[in-house]
Amino acid sequence: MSARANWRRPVISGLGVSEIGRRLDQSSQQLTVDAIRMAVADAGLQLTDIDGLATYPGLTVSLNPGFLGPDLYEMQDTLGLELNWHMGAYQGAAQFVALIEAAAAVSAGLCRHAVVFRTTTESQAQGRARRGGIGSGGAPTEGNLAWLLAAGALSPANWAAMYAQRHMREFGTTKEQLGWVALGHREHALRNPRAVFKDPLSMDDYLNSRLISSPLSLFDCDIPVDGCVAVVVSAPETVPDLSHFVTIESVGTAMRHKPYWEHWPDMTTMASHDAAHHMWQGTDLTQADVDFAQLYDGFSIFTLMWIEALGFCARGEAGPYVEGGFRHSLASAMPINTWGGQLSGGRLHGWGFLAEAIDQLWGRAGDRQVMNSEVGVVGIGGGVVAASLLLTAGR
Amino acid sequence: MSLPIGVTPAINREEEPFWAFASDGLLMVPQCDTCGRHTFPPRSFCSACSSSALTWVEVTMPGVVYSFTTNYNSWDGSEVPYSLVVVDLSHASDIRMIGLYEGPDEPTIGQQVDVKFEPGPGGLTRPVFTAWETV
Repeated sequence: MSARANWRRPVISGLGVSEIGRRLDQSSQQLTVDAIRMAVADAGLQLTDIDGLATYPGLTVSLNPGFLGPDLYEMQDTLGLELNWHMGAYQGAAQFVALIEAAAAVSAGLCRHAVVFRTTTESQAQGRARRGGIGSGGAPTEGNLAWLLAAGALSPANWAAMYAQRHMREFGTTKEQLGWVALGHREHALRNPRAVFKDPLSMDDYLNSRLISSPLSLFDCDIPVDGCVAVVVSAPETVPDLSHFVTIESVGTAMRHKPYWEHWPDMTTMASHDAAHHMWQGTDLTQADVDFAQLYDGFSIFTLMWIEALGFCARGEAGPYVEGGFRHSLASAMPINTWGGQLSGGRLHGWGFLAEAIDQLWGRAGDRQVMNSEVGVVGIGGGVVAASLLLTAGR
Repeated sequence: MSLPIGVTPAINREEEPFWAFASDGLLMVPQCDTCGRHTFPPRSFCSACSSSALTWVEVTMPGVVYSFTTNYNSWDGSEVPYSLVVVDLSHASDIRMIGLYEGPDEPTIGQQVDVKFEPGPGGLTRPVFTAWETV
């Protein structure tokens, strides 16, 4: 019996992924329509069956040009949906806040089939310009990023770099070990038709790339793309009518420390550690049951932190864990980031990891399919926001 | 001279005194009258003991560098590189602050730092950290 008795194990019944790419000539609304129609069809449903709609982040402060997808109301109206439940939210369990709330909503009976989507057009919005800092729009910033930005720490690369620096200092983590994250992800991207980067990456390429914010260099940073991922989240009682499903076994949404990047007490950890702990509290499964892991890599250091947070190795040992690339590979007992991650697959704000996990559990991952894939873990977010999911294959 | 690196913050009522003191060259934070804990960002409530009685006090330096980075990418057209430090304020309940670092060398973790004040974004005066000079 699970520790979370009232979690009725909602399911994911459909997945849709729009075209993913650099500077696509498509609006965020069109990308979203494409992904949602695919997700609904994948679930064997019609748009008229959809009675829930949610998105991250919805209408809120835009951190970057193209960061916001179409807002909730725009998509409800575009698709002509009649909804029993809906939400657009930014503050919460990282980029999965709306997904997890949708799972709770179908579980609690507020709706039966909820579409949840994340759309980004950061690549086309940035055009050929170099990546700008957060808040470069010029308006005064509010909230937990304001002090960082006022001090001159303009980019998440700066914030993540300070976590990496501390991890290196305390545990002897090396630049090459960060490099094995980038190389491991690139190796997978070569087998992923949707990935942005399709050329091999060598350790020399990695080490010789320009510094962005020490110790992070170019290939430690993810790559903005345009695209949309949508899923259908369905109530457990709909399972007999579904052709396939992934069960949401447990979720991690905990937030237990000061949620400011610079004030996080132990910068060798992130909110990932709280979320992972919370997720494991809600299940009888353990690390030994997991067949693959999809772990956030907005910056390479985050993947190392997630490996430790989820307990796949001891604290401080993620550097040696990834060294040599075997742990990432399909030959390992638990391959990591089999789609190429955001470093090579493209920054879908966590949703590329979810799409890959679903494809892996349904045996649809082609050349990068993990054998006997029954249980997958997804860890999303960096720094002070995090969410994790434990997913199991339906049929 | 180029504009200061940084984005103007929206400032709430709890935070206003911090910036006003900074413009006078003072690094001040609220301290709890009851339990003595310093709190930052500035609040009107002590999360350690749930008291609402706080008094602004000056932070005694040096602080200690908890982590740092040197930024090489010009996000807003600013001249690079420049270093940023996260500082533990050991004489103020180990609260942290982040700021630019100005010194002859790159900062190191564990290094002691002093504070000075320089123009920030939006006409604000902000703390900037420097190498601690032992007399």
